[in-house]
Amino acid sequence: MLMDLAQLEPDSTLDADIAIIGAGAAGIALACELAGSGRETWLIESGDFDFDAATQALYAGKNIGTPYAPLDTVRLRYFGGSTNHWGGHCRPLDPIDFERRDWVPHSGWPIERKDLDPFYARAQDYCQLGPYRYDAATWPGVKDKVLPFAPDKLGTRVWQISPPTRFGEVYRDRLVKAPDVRVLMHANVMEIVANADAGAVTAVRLGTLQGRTATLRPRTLIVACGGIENARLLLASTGVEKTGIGNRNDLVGRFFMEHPHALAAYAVRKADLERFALYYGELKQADGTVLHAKPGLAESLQRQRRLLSGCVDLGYGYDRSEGYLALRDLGKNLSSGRFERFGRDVLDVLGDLDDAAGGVCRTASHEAVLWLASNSEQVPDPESRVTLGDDKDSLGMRRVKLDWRVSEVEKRNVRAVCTIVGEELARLGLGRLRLDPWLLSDDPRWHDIEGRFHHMGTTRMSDDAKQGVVDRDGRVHGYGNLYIAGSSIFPTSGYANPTLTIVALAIRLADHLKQKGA
Amino acid sequence: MSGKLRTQPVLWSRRRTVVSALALAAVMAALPESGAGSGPFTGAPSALGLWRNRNATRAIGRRYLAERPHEADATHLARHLFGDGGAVPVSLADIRQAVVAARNRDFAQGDTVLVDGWLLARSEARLCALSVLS
Repeated sequence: MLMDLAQLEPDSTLDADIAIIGAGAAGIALACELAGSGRETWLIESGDFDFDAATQALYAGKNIGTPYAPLDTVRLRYFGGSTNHWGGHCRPLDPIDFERRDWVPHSGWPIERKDLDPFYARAQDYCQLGPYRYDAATWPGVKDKVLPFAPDKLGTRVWQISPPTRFGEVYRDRLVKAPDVRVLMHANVMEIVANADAGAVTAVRLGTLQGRTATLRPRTLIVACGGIENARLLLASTGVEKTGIGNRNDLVGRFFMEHPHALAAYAVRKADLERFALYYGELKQADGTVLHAKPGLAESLQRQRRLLSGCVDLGYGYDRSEGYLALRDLGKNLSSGRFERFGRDVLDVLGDLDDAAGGVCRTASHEAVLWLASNSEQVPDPESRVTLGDDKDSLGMRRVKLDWRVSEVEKRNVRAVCTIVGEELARLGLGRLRLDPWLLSDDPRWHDIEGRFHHMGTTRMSDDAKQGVVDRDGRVHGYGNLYIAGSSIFPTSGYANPTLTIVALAIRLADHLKQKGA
Repeated sequence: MSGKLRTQPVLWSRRRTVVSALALAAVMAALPESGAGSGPFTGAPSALGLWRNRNATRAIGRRYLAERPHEADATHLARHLFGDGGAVPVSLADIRQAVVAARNRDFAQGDTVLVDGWLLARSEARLCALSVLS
């Protein structure tokens, strides 16, 4: 059933078996899984079915750490959430990402990859992907496209590409028609209300931008608003716990992680561009599944050299990159026989590199340059965090401050990954690599850093209430009926795009609630 | 000189090292000052097939040695290039093969150096260093 808070009686009181706050990937997958279970499930959405500027403005906040895009542009606040602008890249986290690694502070999930595998398999359908297979060797259509990296150094990490699924569009009808699901639109959650001993949620205060309010009383509440907003909502709910619901150990909002992205190196390509097709492009398979791949660090090498999880984006045609501009100049200089810069002489002196550089000259094509960009895990850092500022939005809720921290460790890791990829490209005779100057400098800052709009870690999962906000089931420590869904519960980020894991965890949570009789 | 592979499985000796180093140095010396070149030296780089530009070679070599002065010894460099106690290359083709093998081995083992941001096999950088000493 579709409902609109703006159409309800003022100050209505509503009851629900299960209420889900937020109709993004997690919330919609949860609602779909719970539909038909006989529980009256409410899916609460702040926005409309389309973008609305006034609602979107509720996401505005302040960046006070590493430069980052405006916070009202990095996520979307309407039905379908940020799946309305995602790129569709899907891959499960690697098994090592779940492990406690002594070289990665605060690492370790309370669950293992094998615990999540059955749910990853089910998440494939929600994201309109192919079978749950992420080993390139199992895809006959790409086997001959896989570069023969030394397996103890690099592997080919496969992604499946979703259409991309716009969860709001694809699952709207299913949810609206489900007899036991109520989709409540234009309902902004302004506060989660707990009982006096802070052991259970009793109600949720709702409001529209126009001032209509209501109270929802769920038996079980799931917060699924995204990696920043989940923390904001808990921190803003101070009626009983003065530092915010679930924040008695001062963990809510901490450990914010992204997938820091920056151009890090370029390579003079020696082999045909087609050799790299699986890595820079997307290859459709016979069954319709679309695959993409990246060179990624071997697990054994991560252990041996105590590295973070990481891979590189590989592409070509970045015609504004330093690499392309330098090589374009090189081509001209080769033509004229001038060699004015040491770096260009380096190119000239090495035979295979020289040949490739000559190719740049002959073809004058930016396709001769491969660019490499970082795609790395972050070290969980408690000082990288979401807090509440003094500014308030139009509902009177305090806006967020994001202090995103990126450390020297991650920069060193990107350098290591690029170097290893460079070694392999050279060994295989595929190209020769030059690291960007910023990556070699002592300055810990990154050059032109960007995020991927992957917000993780702010309500991290741990069996220990002193180490995490939620337990292995996603339940907030200390609360019997409050759960969190989404990437905010990731203790570590891996390098894979988070949506598939978000959906898998949501399905797992739905199963848990059904088994528990919530 | 013939391009046919000829290596001799003899014990490594200082004399052999010096011979190989001198052979390399002679090739280096025959490189043109810059560019692909023409004239009497044109044949040398194509014979070796690895590089073309003596100035550039020496520039890399100087940079490498400046950071590693303890390697400023032709015997030391040649020994590292061809290994201790193995087959000693005595022809241009053998030298080339040995250099390429050393380069690939370096990349496989991660034995690389950065020069101006470029990722080079250590053997490549040592070859260039040898040209400085020649």
